Amino acid sequence: MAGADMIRPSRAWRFGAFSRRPPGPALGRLAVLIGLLLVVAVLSLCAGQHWLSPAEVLRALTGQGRESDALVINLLRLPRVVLALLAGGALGVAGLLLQTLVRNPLASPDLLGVGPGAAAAAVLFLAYGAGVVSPGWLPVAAIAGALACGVAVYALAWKGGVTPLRLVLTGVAVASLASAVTTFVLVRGPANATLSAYVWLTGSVFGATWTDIARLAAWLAPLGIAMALLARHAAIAGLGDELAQGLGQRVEAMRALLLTLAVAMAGAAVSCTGPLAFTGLIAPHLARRLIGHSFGVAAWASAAIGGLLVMVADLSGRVLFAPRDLPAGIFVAALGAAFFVQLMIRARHRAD
Amino acid sequence: MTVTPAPLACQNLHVRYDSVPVLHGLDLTLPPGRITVFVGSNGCGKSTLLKSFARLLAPDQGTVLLNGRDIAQQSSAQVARALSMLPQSATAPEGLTVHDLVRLGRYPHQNWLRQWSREDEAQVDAALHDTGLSALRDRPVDTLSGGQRQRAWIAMTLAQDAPVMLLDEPTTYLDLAHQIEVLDLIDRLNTERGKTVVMVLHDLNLAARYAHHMVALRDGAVVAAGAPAEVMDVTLVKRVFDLDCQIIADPLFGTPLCVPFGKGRRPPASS
Repeated sequence: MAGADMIRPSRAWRFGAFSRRPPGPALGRLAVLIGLLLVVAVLSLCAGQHWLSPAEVLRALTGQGRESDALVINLLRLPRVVLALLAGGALGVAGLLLQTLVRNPLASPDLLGVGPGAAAAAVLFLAYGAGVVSPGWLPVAAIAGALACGVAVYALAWKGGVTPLRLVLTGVAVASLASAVTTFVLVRGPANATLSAYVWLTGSVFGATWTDIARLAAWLAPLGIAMALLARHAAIAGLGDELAQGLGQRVEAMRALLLTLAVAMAGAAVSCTGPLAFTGLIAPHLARRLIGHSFGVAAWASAAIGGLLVMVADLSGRVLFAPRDLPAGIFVAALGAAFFVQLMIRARHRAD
Repeated sequence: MTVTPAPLACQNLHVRYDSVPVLHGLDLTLPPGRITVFVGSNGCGKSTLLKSFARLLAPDQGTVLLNGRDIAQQSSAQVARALSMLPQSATAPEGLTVHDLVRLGRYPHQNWLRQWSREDEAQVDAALHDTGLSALRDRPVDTLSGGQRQRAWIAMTLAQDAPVMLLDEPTTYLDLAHQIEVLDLIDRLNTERGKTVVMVLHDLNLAARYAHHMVALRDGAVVAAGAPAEVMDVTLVKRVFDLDCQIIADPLFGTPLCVPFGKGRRPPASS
């Protein structure tokens, strides 16, 4: 046994005080994933009512192509791609974080009422606020709704601390309440607001502007840095309270911090795109199954797969039903439903 | 073998669990460098006592002393470097490999910059080696057998590199052969690595075989504490488990062996 240990080469990245364990084969898989992401991104830039070749796309991006192409790419297609990547990535990481924290693979940001909360606030805004203030405030209203629901879930679940089970049960209750508000406004609110509310509720990256992206990026940048700093704590939190505490983690404080991070990330994403249901559920699953299970690797992979999912959904919506442009949310939901059923069948077989 | 002077003690310890008083004023000093086993019937407070020593439960009254100082006054990381705790029936996140799990044991020694130092690597390799898991390091924990899985958890707490190890029923759900395997491993960690071990065991006879120091509890109070050969007798078993028995010497180890009488079934008259 000792001999086997000796033969094994030491793998480490060490520079002075800095040290990390390289992810090993997962790194290669991650690289393939990023490659795939780039291919789909380029394809997304090519596709549309007016197809462009990859070479034309490249020329347009570098400012050497036709002016009309550059306009289409820079004003219409590129913002969609970037928004899909950012929002999908944020939802993927938020989903992974929540699944880790509540130790349940079926958890997603919607569990804490992020999606329903954002939706209720957005629909209220569209029905009663749009005439009063600029429609540019819609994302702000949505993120406020998401955060409010997150805080409400946490506060209601508190009983000298928050257990994952109480969190899940309270989350279901608060999400139902938020959905009830949404339905009420759709039924009773002004008729002209209903259609735009429905479009928002489906979730899409249609009509993305660089202003949206700048705002989302400004939100996500500090959250991403915080995530990178806290990744090792999240991995420990995933072991459960007693083990985490035994390893020296301040369990309640860390849970509150990580939950805030997840809600803020998902809320920011959803505020710009509308609820892209299931992204936060599917991306972490695929990431763990295809790329790797250790938290750091899974976090990068969840971000990439989340971005990829939304991008593919948006691309499908544009191409499959051209010249009509269907919201990405429809495809994410359809994909998610199929995936969810498959997940349950798998779990059932394992239980047998 | 070095005897680590890491005394764990409690004074006048009162603990509630879900607002029900469980422990009623316990005074204990656990011998350093030895194996201490808590025994008692279900609900006697032995797990609560272990959790109090691990600071998983805060006392109502009284104090737990770690290295002579009130454990409540020490930082979480400080406590984690002094003692490791393996709770009952821990479950690993799905798909996590043995190596990734054991690596998490290094948490109290790491910071953002230093997450895989030479010391981390050496400790993890040693933990895998000592638990016989070197060859299984890349296997997901959830694909291991019960005994291997328990060894993986022990390896994780071993990588934590704390002089005191607390284990809550480390043999639960294991068949007899695997129970012995895990207890032999714990015994070896005590003799070869000088770990102070404190654990809860259900099986009185295995407790008597492996413990240097036995603490018998009933209704949240200590009935007896000392070497098994000195404290474990017919009276003790009657008081702790409310069970009639005969105590004979274990034919292999000479430690006390409890042979219980049934409540209904009696031995044939000839014996």
